[in-house]
Parts: sequence; structure tokens; C-alpha cells
Amino acid sequence: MKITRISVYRVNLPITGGYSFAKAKTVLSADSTVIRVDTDADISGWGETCPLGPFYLPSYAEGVRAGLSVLAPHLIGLDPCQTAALSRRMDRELRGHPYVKSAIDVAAHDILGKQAGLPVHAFLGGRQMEAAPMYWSVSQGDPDDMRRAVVQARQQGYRQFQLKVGGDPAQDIERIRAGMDGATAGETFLCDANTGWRRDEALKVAFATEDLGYIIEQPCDLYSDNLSVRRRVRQILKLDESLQRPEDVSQALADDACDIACIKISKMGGLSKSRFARDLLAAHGIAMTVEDVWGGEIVTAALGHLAISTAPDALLNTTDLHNYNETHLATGAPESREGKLYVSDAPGLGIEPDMAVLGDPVAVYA
Amino acid sequence: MKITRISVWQLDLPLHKPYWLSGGRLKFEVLDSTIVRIDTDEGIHGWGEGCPWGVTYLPAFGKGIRAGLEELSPLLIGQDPRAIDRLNRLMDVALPGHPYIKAALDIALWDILGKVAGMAVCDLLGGREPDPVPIASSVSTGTPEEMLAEVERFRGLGYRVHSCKIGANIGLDIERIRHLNAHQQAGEILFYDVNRAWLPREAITVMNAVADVQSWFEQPYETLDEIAQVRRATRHPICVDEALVTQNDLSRIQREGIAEIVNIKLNRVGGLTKARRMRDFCLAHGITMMIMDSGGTVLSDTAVAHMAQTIPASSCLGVWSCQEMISLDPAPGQGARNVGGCFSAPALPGLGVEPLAQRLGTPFAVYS
Repeated sequence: MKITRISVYRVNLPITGGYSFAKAKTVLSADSTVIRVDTDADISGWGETCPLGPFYLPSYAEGVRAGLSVLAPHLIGLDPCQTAALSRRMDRELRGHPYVKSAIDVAAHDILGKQAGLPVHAFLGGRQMEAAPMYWSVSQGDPDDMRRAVVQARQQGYRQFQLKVGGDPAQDIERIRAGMDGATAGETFLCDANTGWRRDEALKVAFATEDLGYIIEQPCDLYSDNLSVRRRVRQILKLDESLQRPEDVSQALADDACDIACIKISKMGGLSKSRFARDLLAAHGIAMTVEDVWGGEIVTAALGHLAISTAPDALLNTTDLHNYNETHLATGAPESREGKLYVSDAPGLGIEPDMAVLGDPVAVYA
Repeated sequence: MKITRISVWQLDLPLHKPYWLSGGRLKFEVLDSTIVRIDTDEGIHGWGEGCPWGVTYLPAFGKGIRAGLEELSPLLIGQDPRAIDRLNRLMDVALPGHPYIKAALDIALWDILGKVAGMAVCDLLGGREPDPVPIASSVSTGTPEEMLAEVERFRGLGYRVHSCKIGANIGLDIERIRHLNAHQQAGEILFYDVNRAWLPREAITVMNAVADVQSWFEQPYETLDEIAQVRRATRHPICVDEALVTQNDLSRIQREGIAEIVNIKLNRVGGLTKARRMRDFCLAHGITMMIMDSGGTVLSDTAVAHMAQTIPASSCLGVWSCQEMISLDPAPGQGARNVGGCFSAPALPGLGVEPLAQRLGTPFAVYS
């Protein structure tokens, strides 16, 4: 089988109520890049990369499309089912920029699944659970608003909640206390600073809330700062932004830098690399959030397949990103019920894009 | 003083002859350079350049620079260009990572500051050291005889420092090193740049096989952990190049004793501002430097020359002159030029390079 054409679509995904996190960063609408990979076998695959604004991770929407203009011509004529070779080839043709390659790698897995008549998770180790537990992400805001958002999510069946902090430390302490007000046994809270704190700010918040059982996520920007904080606080520590490459994972394991890790598919460069990182972490007893940066139905399908094929004792949670958006770009995405994500066994990713939403491609490579 | 306009040009820079990266694994024929001009409301303007070595050498590519400038430029309009550290922080918050996109802007800001002050950029960066800076040649991978012929050609141009690219086949690599070393002249430095091409096993095998050769090896493998492993099993000094991107990388290299030499490429680390901090750290810890860029015209070379000119000769092994490998010169006769195998930073205010309008052509984009 050969890749004959790669079409690139741009979709704006307005976020319900907007999404705010550390240091007053707010995204009202996410700029998603969807790609369709066509083959000479009449099978098409879909992938999606959606940065959360240009300021969250080292990834931005215009960069996705600029990178695809460099990469795509090299991929025409390659066999998409040879996913490992394709991934290596992408690394050879364009160094770095894993987020650009993610959409292509996901589309290749979609094609591989359709060709084999198997769901994508079959190529990621196989289904390990009926449904994956989800967390609900509570956008940064007034403590009372955050308290209400938790109550609402709890009513919908969620048992895991992520509170976006990483702002002013005194306010963050209030946010954590408000969000966790009424927390019950069996619930999990993650307080995510998204790199927003200095060391002293992280320590201040952590020490002041030591009575509450929660997970601190990515307190500082620099890895060395996180390591320092990790050695001095009593909370469970989760790393996300600090883990971008397989070697980051190895170093974190060697340094005992975290208890929990976050795998985001586009951050790592696609399903191929995310699977490797996931399995390395699972082998070392590190629990994970398996998810992506942002995105619509295609992103949620890809992360759903990776999540439900994760060893159950290593999967902390996942997320249904498409349900945070007002625009829906495909049918067949995983379903959310009672705080769990159900992923289908349909071939490939199991999604069918809505061409009316995608519109005309912004670029076609053939 | 306010930034009023940022103009962006795209230039194709054809190489005089095709270049093979260490190990002969990647071929380069044309570089894609991006030149920026920052204009201000006081009539002063600054120039900067970002030119990755193709799209496969580093995680940096020309189209990516221009896509990123589209994000960053609007943010800088209206800002005071003299507040260089502040603008660097602004860019880092607005667009994390991607230091190669920011380098051209940062260099242009230094050019403006120099013109405002009436001082050369090297004088703003700490002051001029007396000696011209030796230029290292770049000897493409080939047979031992071909590589020696290339070294001899560079000798004729006055070069005394030669970066010999190896990493194809370890048996042949040993032959290359032996052959080149046997023909090394007094007062000459030949070092061996692997550009990540070896596996640790190969690095250890070759380096131990030539343990008697007085030289050093640059970037023997991709990642710092494995370079540290190579270091423990070998005797030569090691230079880290591609694996040095952030100050955190440099701190780790120092803390763990991974290398004695680092190659600071302005584009890769994000420009003069970040390179200056790295320079000071290296001086504080006795790490020897090479200052280079990943590619570009005399504009990039001149920014490199200004930084290198501030480093005591004993701590700076050399720079690189990309201008001599390309057939396009946007500023003939200006900037840092090869004089007897050395660069001297110009004494004019700013960088001391004013590209000719007709050589740049129509801008790719203008932000105002």
C-alpha cells in the first residue's frame, strides 16, 4: 500500500466557556489541524493535531501546517502500514517538532487498522479494560466558580478532578481548598500548575495544603526546579510538560522525579512514540494520564485507543477533549458515560469526519 | 523608542558544492535562510538572520522560522527594542520552545542597541578581546585521501583549525583519523565531529583505537546520557554540540562532567542573549567554547564573530564561516570576513552589516 495524497484541513474549535490555566493564559478557541491520508488501496486515514494556543507547549498551529509542508512531500509513495518505518522516516526528514508528526502517525494507525479490520488499540497492545476512567478539568477561575464546577462534574459521574492553579500562590491555596471542599473518599484531585510556579511558590502552596490529599502536577517550568520541589513536598508529584521525549522519561525514572506521568500523544510525536513511553513508564510502576493537548473527535479517538490498551493499574485517567468544544468534527468518537470513556472496536480509529465542518483543505500534497 | 515594523525575507543560499553530514547520511545543496529587519520610530533599524542547516540537521527549519515570526512579530510591534531581556521573556512566554525562531529577532535587537549606543555589539556583550578568532573549517566526510585534500585546500585559505566530519563506518573512521593525524602540521588543530552518527559502542571502539591521538571528539552520539557513558569509557576530551539547547542542558553538562568543550550555535540556543549567559557560565566553569551558527550569510557569521570576539582566546577554540560555502552574499565587503583564517568583529556600531536591498528582493512578509 502506498500513500498517494495528504490533505490538510483547518478547523476552529471554540471551547465552551473558554479554558484558562497558569499565568492568566486563556484559550477561547483552539486551532486544530486535521489531516487525511489517502492511499492507492482506497483506504483513507485521519489524524489531528491541536495545540492549546501557541503558549502552552512548544507547539503552535501555524507550525503544524508549516511542518506538514516540509514533511508531507517526503511521505507520498511510502507504505502507511509500516508505522515504525514511517515514524523513523519522519524523524529523518524533519528533526524535532514531534507535534507536526503526530497527526500523520495517528492517520497511519487509522489506515493500518482499517486495512487489518481491527481497532487501533489492537496495535497498541490490545484492549485492557471496558472503559477508561476520566478526569474533569476545571478551568482556572474564582475559587467559588471552581467549587461549583467540581460539584457539577461530580453529578455527571466524574470521580477525578483537575484544578488549574499555577497563578498567585495565595489564591491558588484558596482554589485548592474550594475545589476540594466536599471531596469524598474514592475521589482523586490533581492540582495542575502547568509550570506556573517558582520553586518558592510551589513550596508555599504545597506546605499550606499538606492536610489535603491531592496530586501536584507540573509545579515549575524547569525540570531541575520540579526535582527540587519533588524532594521537599509530601504530595504525590505528577510531571507533564517536563516529559516530552523518551529520554526525558528515562531521566525522570533515574532521578525518581515523579510518581505519575502525563502522556500526551502530540507532545510525544504520535501513537508510536507514546506507546513506547507509556510502556516504559508502566514497566517502572508509574501511573499515567493518557491524553492529548487539545483536539476534537479524532484526537479523542486516538487517545482513547491508547488509554484503554494501557495496563489498568498504570492508567490513572484519560479525558474526552472533544466534549469541551462547541464544534464537532466527526462521528464515532469514544462515548463518555458516568465519568468513563468507552472506545469502540470499529476498524481503525472508528471515526468518520463531517466534511461540512472540515470544509475545503488548506493544502493538498500529492 | 518603539518597534514599528518587522520585515522578513526568504533567501535561498546555494552551496558551492553539495555537503554530506557526518557519516554521509544526509545531503545538503541549498540552505533556506530567513533575514529580518526591525524598524523603529527613531529611524534606527536592526538586522538578524536565522538559517538552519536544511531541515534535518537540527530541530529547526526555514518555513518554521517564518511561521513562528508570524506569531511573534505582532507581539513585538510597539515594544521598546532596547529592552532585550524583557522581549526575550515575552517571546518565551508567547511561544515556548522553538529557540531557533527567536534568534534572528534577538540578533536584530542587539544590532539596534549597538546603533543606539554607537558601539559594536561585541562591546555591548562584555568587550573586545585583542586577538582575531580562528575559523574552523568544515571537512565533509569522504575517503581519508579526499578529506586530507580538503584539509589542504583549507590550509591554503589560511585555516589552522579543522572540523573533520566522521561517523560512517568505524573501520574507515579509524583510517580517516590516522591518515589525517599523520599529516597534521605544527600549530594546527584537527578535531573530529561525529554529528551524532555513532552508537555508543562505535564511539568507544573508535576513540579507544586512537587513544594516542591528541584531539577531541564532538557529539559522538545523540543524547547526553549516552555521551556521558562514552566519556566514562574513553580518554579524549568531548565536545557537545547538538545536545546543548538550553541553559539547563549546559548546567547538566557541567554538573555531570559530560564535556570539556561545547559548541554554542546562536540559532540553536535562541540568539545572542541566551548565548551570552551560556558564555558566562562556561567561563565560570572552565568549559572551552566554539561559537558558531547553523548556517547563513555574512550576517549570521558577523553575529557569531561579535560573540566570539568577547571570549579570551584560551577559552574559544574557533568559529565557523558559512559565507564561504555559499554563492550568495547580501552585503559584499561588509561584516566579518576571513582574513588569514580568522574573523575579527567589525568596529562599526551594531553588527556592522547592512544588506543591500537589491540582494534581498521583495520581502516575504511585513508586520507593522
